Amino acid sequence: MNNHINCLHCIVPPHMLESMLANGNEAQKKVALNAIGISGGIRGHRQALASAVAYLTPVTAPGKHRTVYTANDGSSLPGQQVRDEGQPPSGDVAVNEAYDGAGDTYDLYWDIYQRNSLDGNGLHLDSTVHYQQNYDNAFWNGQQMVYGDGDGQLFNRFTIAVDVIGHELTHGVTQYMSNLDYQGQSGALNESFSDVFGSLVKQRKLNQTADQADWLIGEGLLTASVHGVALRSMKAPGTAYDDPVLGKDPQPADMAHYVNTTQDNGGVHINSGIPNHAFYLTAVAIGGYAWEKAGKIWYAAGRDKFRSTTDFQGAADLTTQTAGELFGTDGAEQQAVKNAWIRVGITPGAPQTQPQPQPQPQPGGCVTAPAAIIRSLFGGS
Amino acid sequence: MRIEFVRSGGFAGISLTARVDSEKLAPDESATLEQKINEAGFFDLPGQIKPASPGADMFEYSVTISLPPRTHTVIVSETVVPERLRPLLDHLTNLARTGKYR
Ligand SMILES: [Zn+2]
Ligand SMILES: [Zn+2]
Repeated sequence: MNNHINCLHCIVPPHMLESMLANGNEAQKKVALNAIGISGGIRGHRQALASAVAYLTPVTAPGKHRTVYTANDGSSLPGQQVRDEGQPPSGDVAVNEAYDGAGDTYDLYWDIYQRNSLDGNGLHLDSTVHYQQNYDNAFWNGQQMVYGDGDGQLFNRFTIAVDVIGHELTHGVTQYMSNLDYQGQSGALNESFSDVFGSLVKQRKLNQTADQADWLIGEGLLTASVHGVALRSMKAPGTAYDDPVLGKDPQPADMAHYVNTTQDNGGVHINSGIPNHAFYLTAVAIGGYAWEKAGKIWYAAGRDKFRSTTDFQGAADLTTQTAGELFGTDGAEQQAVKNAWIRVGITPGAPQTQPQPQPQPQPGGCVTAPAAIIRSLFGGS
Repeated sequence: MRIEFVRSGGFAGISLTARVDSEKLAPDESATLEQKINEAGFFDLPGQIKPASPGADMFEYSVTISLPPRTHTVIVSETVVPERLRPLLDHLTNLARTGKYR
């Protein structure tokens, strides 16, 4: 409903919004304030508008709507609703973790990448907890997240780690962006994207820089009886666990150890170690908060350049190209990306000349009819 | 009769496997398995059963059964397991969990 207002932040420059405030009528001022409120936190223009604060209405993210269901240990989805957006915490820790983790993930995409939910258009975030009994898994079924309680012997409940929640939700983001085929290298890239942004959700929640973060996926998920710290390590793929029952973490860190297998859709959870490590190396080389630059490069490449069939070489080429576009050709950021891929055994090539994908809708539908909206705001036409 | 069972995928990406040779099973164990295979109509199931919406991190089951003269493989994603196949998969999953059939 509010698409036109919400979308102002990305089409109307801040100085224009300020002029709308200074010179517009009441309705125009409200619209401008709304738009600034949404983008103000990221663009820093709120201070300049202090004098107009009387007009400010409480600003919330435009599309954050979380609903948590319980399957009551059965298999029906989505199950029985237990907590909807804005409702107080439940007495059930899994419900609250699913709710809070979905919020942390929504906030990373909105605050940092200006993406309004998974589809860029405020898609509701539905999660189901207590799926089946002793269920050692969490998955994205194409429409929602699903979490098991774990068997208690090897695995704890899957909502325990916020990066697992960010991982599952990012499968939704990927589905609406490049829709990377869940098979072979494109599938491993799909997995890696989920690990990357899952880890960034955790790092941002903990306010950690790249060198402070643990870069683990699923920390806390393994019970105390398992020899292991997590399920995957982006910093040191292959070292997350080594246990008599679970076996050893099979992830490679570079192309020399790429695993050819028909299981797991061609090893999508195994070979994801390679692009995972490339992201880690990039983020550490750039320094600071990983979501700010490395994350932005990966996000923009995934949104604008990846296609369903992109493989590791394509990812290396396209993230390197994106780093140049965002931060300057041959700048420190692009060098960091290039060196990272080389270290995992892939040499980024020249910019690809493949056909560009269709433009993706931005939060609130940026690409549609902004000119008419601006004209009407300024009383033209 | 020989059975090769693999449950792969899942968020953890840790496979669960079982190789069963009916000659090495107790007679009642073997009979239980054959009954579940018959009830599943295993040899009439399609070789691949995938969901319309692919999703991610779901378990995938691969079951190959050799019961001369027939050999058949069924690969099925966990969210689209046919009801009649479920008891066989649960049984094989439990056998694999014991770790005695690797
Ligand atoms: Zn817009
Ligand atoms: Zn995944």
